Amino acid sequence: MFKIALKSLIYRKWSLVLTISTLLLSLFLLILVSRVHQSSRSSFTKVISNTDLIVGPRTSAQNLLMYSALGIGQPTHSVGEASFNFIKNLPTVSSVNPITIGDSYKSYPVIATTEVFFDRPNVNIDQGATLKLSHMSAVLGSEVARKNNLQIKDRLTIDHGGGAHSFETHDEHPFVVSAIIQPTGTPLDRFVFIHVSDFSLLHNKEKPTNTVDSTTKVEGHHNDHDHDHDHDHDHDHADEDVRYNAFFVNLKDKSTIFNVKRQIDEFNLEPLVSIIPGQTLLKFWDNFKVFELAIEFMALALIVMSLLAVLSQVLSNIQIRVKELTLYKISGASNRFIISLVFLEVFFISVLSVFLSYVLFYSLQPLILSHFLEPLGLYLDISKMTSTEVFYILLVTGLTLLTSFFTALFIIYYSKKMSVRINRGL
Amino acid sequence: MQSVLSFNQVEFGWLKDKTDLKVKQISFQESSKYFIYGPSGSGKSTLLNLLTGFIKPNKGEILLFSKDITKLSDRQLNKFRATHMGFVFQSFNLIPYLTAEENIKLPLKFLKKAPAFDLNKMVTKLNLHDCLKMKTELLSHGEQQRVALLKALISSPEILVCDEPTSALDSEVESQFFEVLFSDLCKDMTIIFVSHNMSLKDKFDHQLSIEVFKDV
Repeated sequence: MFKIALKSLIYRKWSLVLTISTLLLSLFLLILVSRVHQSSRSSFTKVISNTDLIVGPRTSAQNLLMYSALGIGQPTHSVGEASFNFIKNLPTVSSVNPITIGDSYKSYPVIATTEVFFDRPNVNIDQGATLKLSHMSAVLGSEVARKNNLQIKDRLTIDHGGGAHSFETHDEHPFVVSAIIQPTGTPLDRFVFIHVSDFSLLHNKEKPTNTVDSTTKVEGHHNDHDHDHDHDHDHDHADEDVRYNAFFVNLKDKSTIFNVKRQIDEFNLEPLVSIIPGQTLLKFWDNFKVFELAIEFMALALIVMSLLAVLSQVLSNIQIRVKELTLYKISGASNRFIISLVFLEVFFISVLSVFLSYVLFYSLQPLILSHFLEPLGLYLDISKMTSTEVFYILLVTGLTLLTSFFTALFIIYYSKKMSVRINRGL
Repeated sequence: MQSVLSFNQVEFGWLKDKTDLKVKQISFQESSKYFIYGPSGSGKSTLLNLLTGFIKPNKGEILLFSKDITKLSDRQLNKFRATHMGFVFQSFNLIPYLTAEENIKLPLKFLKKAPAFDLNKMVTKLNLHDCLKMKTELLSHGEQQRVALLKALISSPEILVCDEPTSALDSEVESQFFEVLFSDLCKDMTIIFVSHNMSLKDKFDHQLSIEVFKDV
C-alpha cells in the first residue's frame, strides 16, 4: 500500500507540489513566529533576571528598560554622580552597577560599566584571563567578536553615537580586547563593554594614557573626524564629571523593593525613574500582543487554506479519484484499504511539509537573523522546538489526517454510485 | 449444468415510480457463453449493474451461486463479487499510475489468490512483454484492453462480465482478445458478453436480446 500511495502522489505531482508549498510556508511562518517569540522572551528575561531595579534619568519605563538592558534605542538624558551616590547609600541596596551608553562599534552598542555588570549567572569568559574592565580595555559579546573576527589583544576604535553609519570615531582612543564572553543567547552577545571612566575620557577629549602594543591588529576603518563635527548623538559629552544613563540595582532585602523604588522616584536633586524590570518587560510584551495575535491569525488562516489545499489535492478531479478508488474496490479492495490509502497519502503530504518547513527554516535562519531580527535586537533560538510550534505541527498533522478520514468516507459513499457509471462504460 | 446466476421476479426502475426492467426468470449456466445484444440505451448496462450487484432491484432476487446478492451488505457484496466475477469494460478501467503488471496482479493482492495462469506465457502470447513494466496510461488502447482482460482472468473467476470490450479495438486486436476469451483458460467460465455488434453473436453459445429481459 505504501508503494501504491507513493505512486498515486507522484502521479499528481504538480498539484502535490502546490499543496506542499502552501502547507510548508504556513508551517514555516508559524515556526518562525513561535521561535522569535520564545527566544526573544527568554533572552530578554535572562538579561534582567538578577536585577531588582533599573534606575535612570526620567523617561518612560519601557524606554529605560530597552536601552539599558536590551540594547535597543538610545537614552535621551543622563544623570550625575549625585544620583549614583544617593542610590549606593540607600540602606537596603547591596550593589549598584552604573552604565553609560550612546557610542557604538560598527552599530553594536557600547556599554560603559564596571566589572559588577559581569557578576551574573549566565556570563562566562570564553577568551582572555579575566572579565575585568581595566583602563582602555574592552570586553566583547560573542557575536561582536565572531562577526568582526576579533581576538584577544586586537585593537578597536569605537564610533561616536549609535547607528550603522557613524561619521565620527574615537580613533584617538583605541581599545584593546581583553576578554570575550561566551555566547549567552541574550542581548549581551551584541554588546561591547568598556569602563565608565574610559567613556568619560573619550568624551572629555583626553588623550589615552596607555600605549597599545604596536603589533596588535587594528579593527575599524573610519574617517578621522573632528569632534566638533555637528553630528547627531544623544549622550552628553565634554562634561567634566562622569554621566550615567542607568543603574542596575540589587537589594539586600527584596521585600523593601517598593520602599526603595519610592525613595528613588522622590529623589529631588535629579529627576529619576526606577522600574522593576520583570514587570516592565511584561508590559513591553503586552505592546506586541496585537502584533503577535495578527501574525498568529495570519498563520492560522494559512493553515486553513493549506487544509483546503490538501483537500483539493485529495479530491482533485473527484470523478477521477473516486473512479480510481472504485476500481480498487472492484478488484477486491476493502473499505479499510481505501481509507488507509487516502490516509497514507495525506500523511505523506503532512510529514513532507513539516520536514520541508524545517529545512526551509534552518536554511533561511542565518539570513533572517542577520537581516531582519538582529537589527531589531530580536533573537532566534534554533536549538530546540517550542511548545507552541509542536502544538501547531500536531494541529496541522491532526487536522490533515482528520480531513483525509472524512474524504475517504466521502469517496466510499460516492464510489457506490461510481460503480454504476464505471459499469456503464464511463 | 448448474445455474451460477439467476434472476427471479426482478423489477428495477431508475426513477421511483417507473419500472425500466422486469425479469420473471432467467438463469445463466455454468461454463456457458452468453451474448446479450441490443441497441444503445436499451438497458444492457442496467442489466449488467443488476447482475453484478452494483445496483439493487426494487423487487425480486438475484442469486449468485445460490446466494441472494440483493440481501448482502456492501462489504459482503464487494468481497463476494471480487471473488466470483471478473470484469472487462469498454473503457479499460485500469489504474493509470500502476504498471501493466501491477494492474494485472491487483486482484491477487486483495483476494490473496495465486495466479490462474503463467503470466509470462500469457504476456508473450498477447504481445504484452514490452509493456509489462510500463504505466498503463502510456499503453495503446489495444494493449490496455489486453491488460484489462488478463487482470479480469488472473484470479480465475467463475463468471466473466464483458461490457462492449471490443468496440474500441481494431480487428487484429479484437481477434487476439477473442482468442484468449475462447481459449482453455476461459473454458470453465461463464461469460456474459454485452455488445451492440451483432457480428460477434455467433461466437457465443447463447444469444439473448435485451428485449427478453424487458417484460415491462
